[in-house]
Amino acid sequence: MKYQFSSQTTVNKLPSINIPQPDIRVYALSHWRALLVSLRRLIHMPLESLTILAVIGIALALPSGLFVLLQNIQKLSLAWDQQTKISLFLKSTVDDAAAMQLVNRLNLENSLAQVNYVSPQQGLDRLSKQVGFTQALGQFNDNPLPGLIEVVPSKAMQLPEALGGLVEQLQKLPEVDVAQLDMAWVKRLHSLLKLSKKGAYALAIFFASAVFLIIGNTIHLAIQNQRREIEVIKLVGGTYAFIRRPFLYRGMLYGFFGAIFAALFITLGLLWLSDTVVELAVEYNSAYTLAGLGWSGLGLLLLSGAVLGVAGAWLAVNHYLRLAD
Amino acid sequence: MLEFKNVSKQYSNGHEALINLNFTLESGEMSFLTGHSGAGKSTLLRLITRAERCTRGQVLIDGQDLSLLPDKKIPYLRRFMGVVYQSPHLLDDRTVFDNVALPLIIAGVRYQEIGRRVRASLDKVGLLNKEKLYPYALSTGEQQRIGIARAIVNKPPFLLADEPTGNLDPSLSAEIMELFDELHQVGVTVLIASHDLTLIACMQHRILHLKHGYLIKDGL
Repeated sequence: MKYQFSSQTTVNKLPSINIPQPDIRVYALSHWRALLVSLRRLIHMPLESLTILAVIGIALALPSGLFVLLQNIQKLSLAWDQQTKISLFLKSTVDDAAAMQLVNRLNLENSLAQVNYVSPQQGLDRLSKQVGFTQALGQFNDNPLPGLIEVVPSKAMQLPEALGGLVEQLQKLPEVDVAQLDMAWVKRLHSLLKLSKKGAYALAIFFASAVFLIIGNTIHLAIQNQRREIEVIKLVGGTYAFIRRPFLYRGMLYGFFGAIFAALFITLGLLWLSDTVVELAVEYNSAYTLAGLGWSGLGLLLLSGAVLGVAGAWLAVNHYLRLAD
Repeated sequence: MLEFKNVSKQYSNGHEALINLNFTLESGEMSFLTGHSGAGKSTLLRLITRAERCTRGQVLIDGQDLSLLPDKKIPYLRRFMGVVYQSPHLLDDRTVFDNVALPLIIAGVRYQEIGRRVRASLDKVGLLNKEKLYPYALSTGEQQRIGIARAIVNKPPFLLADEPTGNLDPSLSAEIMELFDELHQVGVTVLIASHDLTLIACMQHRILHLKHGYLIKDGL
């Protein structure tokens, strides 16, 4: 087929140099091509790509792995919170009947979810069931144990701040000798968790900036390698958007696949830990298992990776284009 | 089509490349731009592609003043003119086909259409059988023709060439000039910068002759 300038033989006028009307089809096609081109470039240099993806994966895995661990600890501490019991050791003058009256009164309190009376005799039975105590208890002529009421605070009262007030209130009851709760321990755990979460956020920001810079720098190098191509594209009428597009997609792919690497690292790490955790949980009579990233966590990780990648690439390309001007 | 009105170009280092140029190129006209190296030929072409802005006067294309053209319209200006360079600016990591297809990819042309147009263009320069090769596998003359194929693949109404035969032996040069003449025959406006005076002399077209930035001859 011979090349014909048929349309120009009659109309030989320069079409106006105006920006053409936006055309969704042209736009979509251009994006699709940019995605293909950037994928092809990634596959074209498998070793370089894998190295960069591994680096991004590690940088993303560190903060997100820490979040997963913290979430697990929080889950564990929630399980403990539900078991938060306040032990009310009754004065020795309070007999079973008076104790039952107190139990009935306490049962009416909204702040308590559960009230359970352990009489001195029941306490003795409990203890004697535990190996090693039978003999020790035999040394006593009388039952040395006081009456005990175990109360479980309602959900609303489980917070460390509320617990303190509740214990104080219970302590004031005339029948109660000592109201006991290891408050300090619960408080400390909660503030430790709070601190770790703050630390994890700081770490996340830190590593996110690292990923942003890594991708920015990688794209910067890619641009340097493709300078000639960019020049030629400009010569034959490529817009800045056209030049930018494949690099943005490349940054996005780096971030996205890097995040997949990170998810893989975290999963492997959890698998490695889980055997030990299950063993430990069995010893504590608990069915506790480690929780993974979860779908929402994975989604968030992939999204952050992609967004960081696009942002890093954007910085690099715009820097180059501004210099080129 | 193209009009230069009192155009001067002074570079920031003070060098006056073009001084008070006035000429008009009509639609479908073919003309040569001659002069020694340093006379201002390349600068003149760079003003037309808006790689440079003139410091005085007006460069008009189709009535549009290029110095008033906003930067974001420059790519669209360049899509409407094919430009052939002395070194063809081909991309070595792409096949001949992909090199020629580049302007169409940029314009967002569909795949089937690209194949058809690229082959038509390669056929025009006589290199249809080389589409799968890489540029380094081609001779200088063939590379130059690939550059021309890329310049005309968009069917631009205006074709510029900067020393297109600079690296070629006389017979190849004549072949390439013939190609430009054919394009002119079908109505393309052609402006060729060249110092190959013997070749130009036998072509019988308008000649714009530059000397030290002045237009000193305009005619056959």
